Amino acid sequence: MSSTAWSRRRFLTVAGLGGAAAALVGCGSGDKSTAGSTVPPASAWGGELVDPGLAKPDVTLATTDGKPFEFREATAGKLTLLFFGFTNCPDQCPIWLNAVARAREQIGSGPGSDPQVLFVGVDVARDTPEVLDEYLGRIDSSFIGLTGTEAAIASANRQLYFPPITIASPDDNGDYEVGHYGRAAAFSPDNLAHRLYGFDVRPTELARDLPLLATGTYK
Amino acid sequence: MRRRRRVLVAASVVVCSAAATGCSRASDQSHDGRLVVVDATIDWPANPDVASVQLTIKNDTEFDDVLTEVTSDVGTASVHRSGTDAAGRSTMKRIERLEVPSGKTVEFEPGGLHVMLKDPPAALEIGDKVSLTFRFEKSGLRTARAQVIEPGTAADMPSHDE
Repeated sequence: MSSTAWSRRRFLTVAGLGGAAAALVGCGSGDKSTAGSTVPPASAWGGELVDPGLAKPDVTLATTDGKPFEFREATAGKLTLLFFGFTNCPDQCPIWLNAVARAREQIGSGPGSDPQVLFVGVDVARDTPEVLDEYLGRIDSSFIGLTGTEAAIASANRQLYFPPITIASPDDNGDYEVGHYGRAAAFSPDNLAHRLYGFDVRPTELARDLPLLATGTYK
Repeated sequence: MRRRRRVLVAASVVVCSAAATGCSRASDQSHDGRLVVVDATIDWPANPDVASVQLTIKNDTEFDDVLTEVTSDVGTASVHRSGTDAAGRSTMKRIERLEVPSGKTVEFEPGGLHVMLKDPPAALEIGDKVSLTFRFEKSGLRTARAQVIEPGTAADMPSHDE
């Protein structure tokens, strides 16, 4: 695993390597110390470094109670984790969400303990507001479900340079495959995503990283 | 309301890449030349309509075998494999025939192979046990009981045979 910083130009190449290795090994551009905090070595970060950081999508989605969610305004200055997924996903989506919930428990209080966790339901036919609410409420009631038009969701996804969302045709049983990016973007208070977290990130890694991200350290 | 144990579990998610080794929860004891399905667990599902079963298939017979069907007394069951495509997308494909080579152990684990359990008639709760039947081409039928557990704690469950 290269320790070279992630870049947009390399995005598709790196993404193609899969999230598991990145989350297991971690990527960074070097060790630095910040006054007042202990910065882990690059290899200890649970998420992959994005350099330069990704800007927030300029898009309006919708909350599960039908209100517009102007992304940049609603998340300004907050530690925000953004994941695109779907509620019929029995595996990677709940694994990631449960990891964040466990990390929050481990952090307890203070910086990083209360990230704004946004789960965008990309399968709009099944990820209704009611379903999103129940799904997230069973994991962590603080998590926020977002929906919107397929165009708005695709725009948000595209502005982050994530691979396109795919919805396959239903099979004979009415089941269909959904493809979505397997990592979450972690936006720091400077409104840039400096780290991406795969579904297999360990709660202990998030519990270490989130307080650092919340206080402006990302590498 | 979620029945959540407030006990933090350090190693709460089994993290394995496809190429990783040392992730097996299967015991190393001999199974007397048998094919067995062990260590079946279900993470308490976020969506009550769809759950993921993790387990281990250990083929200690002298012949290669194929898993062709899984059924359950609770909902419909099918084998799927989660993964990541070349673009970085999370994907999930149905597996109609799963090869279980002689002398090999096949792990169903988070982010990889799993039995997807759909539409159970009642919401699964932690502690519930679900019966599963596995049909193999050569070994015939095998059964296992999967316990619903706190998500991410499968690695903490004792290894056992059914």
